[in-house]
Amino acid sequence: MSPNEREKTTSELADLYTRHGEQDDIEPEAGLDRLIRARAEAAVEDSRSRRALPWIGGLATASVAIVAIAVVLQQSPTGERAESDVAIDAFSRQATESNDSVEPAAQAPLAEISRRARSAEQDLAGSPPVGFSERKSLAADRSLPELTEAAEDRTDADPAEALAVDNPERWLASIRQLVERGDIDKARHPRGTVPVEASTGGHQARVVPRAGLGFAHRRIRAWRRYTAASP
Amino acid sequence: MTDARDDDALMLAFAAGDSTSFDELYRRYRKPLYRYLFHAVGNRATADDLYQDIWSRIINSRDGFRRSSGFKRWAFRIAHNRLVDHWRQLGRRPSADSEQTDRLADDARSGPEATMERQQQGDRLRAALMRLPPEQREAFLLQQEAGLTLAELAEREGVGRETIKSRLRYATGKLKTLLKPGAEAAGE
Repeated sequence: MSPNEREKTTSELADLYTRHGEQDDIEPEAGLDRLIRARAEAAVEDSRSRRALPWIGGLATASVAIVAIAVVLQQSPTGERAESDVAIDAFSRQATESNDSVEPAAQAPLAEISRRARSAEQDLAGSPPVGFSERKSLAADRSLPELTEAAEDRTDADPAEALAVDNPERWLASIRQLVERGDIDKARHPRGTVPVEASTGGHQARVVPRAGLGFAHRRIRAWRRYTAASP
Repeated sequence: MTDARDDDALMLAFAAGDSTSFDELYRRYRKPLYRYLFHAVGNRATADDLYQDIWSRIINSRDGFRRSSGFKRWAFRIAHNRLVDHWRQLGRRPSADSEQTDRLADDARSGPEATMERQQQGDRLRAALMRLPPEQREAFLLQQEAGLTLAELAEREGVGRETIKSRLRYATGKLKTLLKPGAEAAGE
């Protein structure tokens, strides 16, 4: 068979085979088609669900990480600051104990003490009354000034409050006497209502250290010096 | 409605999770793959089993498909490998015995009067194919159904290009002889 004849034969056979393939009924049954299509569909569904899982896993991991970071940030640091926390806690307890025994109206002396402690601190540091860094601390320490400033304003003018500032024990004793006599109006705070924040006693003391630890720590030291110097 | 995308794009879309792409791909290849298997093994029951298994392999291997593979070659390679496994399980390659030819004749279905002659021609082609030695038959079917070139056939079979050429030449000559009018009557 020559190459030309062979090529012709191959071509004829290919045509015959193709025609035969197009026209004959050799094809898979419909049931087989359905089975294979269903298998493909199931495989796609399966891979979809598998693809969704890493996304959920990633989300869960990210959530756990965020919670963990938040917890770490909320924790107080160790070392130096932890020591200051101990001192602040002691101060808080002391303040709470002393405040528990007085009426809400007696909160004003605490404000004055706070003011004096601050000025004593400034004197010791030899710095201007309120420097930039101090103002920064005060800005961060909003709860304390808010509590003290109103009381400071009041103590400047009223003699009864001056008494409270100079001798709190006496002032408290006089309040008790006034209450026993039923003279409630006189027993009240010299300028009337006591701010709600200042009347919370122990809560006030606990608010102080949270506002700014450095500032509070200095305040405590100043307070100690003040109490040691006072008769 | 047909999809204008090529086979490779359809397969990649299917691998990405688009099941409608698979439907189109399946529509295009259901007949060629089935014919290849049917002509290779000679009976419907075995062809059905192999066909189902081959499509399962295609579905399960979808993530491993690369455009460079070419879907047609890739799918027929899977089919060919499955066929080789089937023959290994049998312990031998199928021979062109009369039993298989008879089974093919049983499988042939009668059609309307007008297509009777064509159908008879088809039956004769199938019978002739089954009488070819398996290597020649497979080379012929892969060339016709999968459109493989000589080089690709040689690579797949692990033989030289000239060997494949020779197999195809013998297959073509034998088919021509078997399909001659009166060849069956002569008992060739």
